Amino acid sequence: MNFNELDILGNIDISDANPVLQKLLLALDATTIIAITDQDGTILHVNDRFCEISQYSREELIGENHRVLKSDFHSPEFFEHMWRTISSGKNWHGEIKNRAKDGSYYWVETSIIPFIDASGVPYRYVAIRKDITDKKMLAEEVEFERDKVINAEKMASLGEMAAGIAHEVGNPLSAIRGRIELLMMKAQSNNLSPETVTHTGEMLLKIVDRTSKIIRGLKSYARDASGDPVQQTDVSQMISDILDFSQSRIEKSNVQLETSGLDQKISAECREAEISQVLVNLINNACDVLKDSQVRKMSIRLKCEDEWVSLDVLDSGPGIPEHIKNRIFDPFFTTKDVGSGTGLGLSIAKRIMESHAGSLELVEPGDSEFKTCFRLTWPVGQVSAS
Amino acid sequence: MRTEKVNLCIIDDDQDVREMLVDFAHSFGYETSVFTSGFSAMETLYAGKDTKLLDSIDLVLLDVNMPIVDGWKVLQSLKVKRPELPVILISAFAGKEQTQRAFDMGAEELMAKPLELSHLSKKIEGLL
Repeated sequence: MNFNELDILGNIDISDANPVLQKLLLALDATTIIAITDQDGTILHVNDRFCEISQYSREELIGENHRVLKSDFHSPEFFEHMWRTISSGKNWHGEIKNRAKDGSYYWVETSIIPFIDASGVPYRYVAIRKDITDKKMLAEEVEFERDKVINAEKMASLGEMAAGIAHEVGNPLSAIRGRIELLMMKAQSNNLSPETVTHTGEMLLKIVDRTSKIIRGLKSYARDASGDPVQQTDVSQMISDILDFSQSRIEKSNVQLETSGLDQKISAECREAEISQVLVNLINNACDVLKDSQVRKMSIRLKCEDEWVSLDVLDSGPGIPEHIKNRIFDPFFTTKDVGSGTGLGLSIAKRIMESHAGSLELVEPGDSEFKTCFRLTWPVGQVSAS
Repeated sequence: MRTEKVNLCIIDDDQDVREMLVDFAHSFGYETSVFTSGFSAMETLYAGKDTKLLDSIDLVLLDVNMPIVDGWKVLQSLKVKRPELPVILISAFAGKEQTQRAFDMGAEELMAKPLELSHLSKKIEGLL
């Protein structure tokens, strides 16, 4: 049989090959998963490793289309891209999740090499694969655990805020309920003028709007926004909304807040809910550290320079000690009491900023009133300054 | 039979709630003395030299959750100056513990938010 033409329907007979080549082929056969298909993907040859991992016998596989192993994990585009590459005569490399005969999954690092005929058209595909199931499973597990921890962190900070929210929402609800009761009392005593109805209605609407704002803030804080589309966002408005949302927390901590730059019209591309989460996180952190300070000041400064948004959150707290400065963004690093912080806030915030092609850094405050300054930056895409 | 109008003292940092309570009080024919924070109430009623205002108050509606000087501190101070003055505490968290604490500190009632005015008006009438 002529090995060079790879006109094979069973095991490859390599007895005629050069002894060095023979050894190389045997070594390859012993360590890797090999399959050869025709131009349509019909399997012509598989080695023992292939049968082992797929759990199909050679007889079951030969003559079948390679599709029998498809796991539905990858998108149709994934395979389209693969076929486009190899049918144009180029090698393809990638990681594929396949389904074995018993329904279990396995991962293979795959190289597909097309063999081309005289007219330049592929007539065989040789696929050489390596089992990477263990590595992938571990990665999947790590990813799963990480998601779980992030979720736990969100629930913890949500719990922290729940008390404040009960108060925040309890107040407007009290006012709404009271206004309605007063209206009904007046109606019962035939003492209800159209002016009173209008006046009460206006007040109710105002209070309802205030409540909606709180709920909106909560909704955007508590959910996973990493899948949100990047959208053109009015940054100043976004920050004002966050400050409305955080107002009670700031007041409760008796923190004096100053802002600058919020009157500018800055429009930038971002996932609004994610940037909001980062900012709420920084505001909460600042409130926490200021609790024990004599001077309780926080400053939020918005700037836009050279097509980059820069947002500083400064506090007059004790400052971050030199020896932990390079650890604060590490996951699980926390200086808070047990149970009041998981140490994930800043690490997640940093990751969110990096997903915006931006950064979250600890910088010198450059203002003697303040001891700590966190700076968020990300590219605007488009800026309209007025 | 009282000849003067009843004076309700309202201490709440939330503007919407405060204004609603004032309207409620007026609709029942009560007069009101209003404070927008625990701090300002303490300044006038506890630390103030003029005791006329404190003496004129018949009942206090007091929000618990306020910044800097919360309702508990105001309650404590008021009960030092006028132990017999009825105080109704209002809180978003009106669990067992808080209710017990309110009674231990001499409050007449702890009411949960959102407030029921019909309930509140009955309580007030009962205490006056």
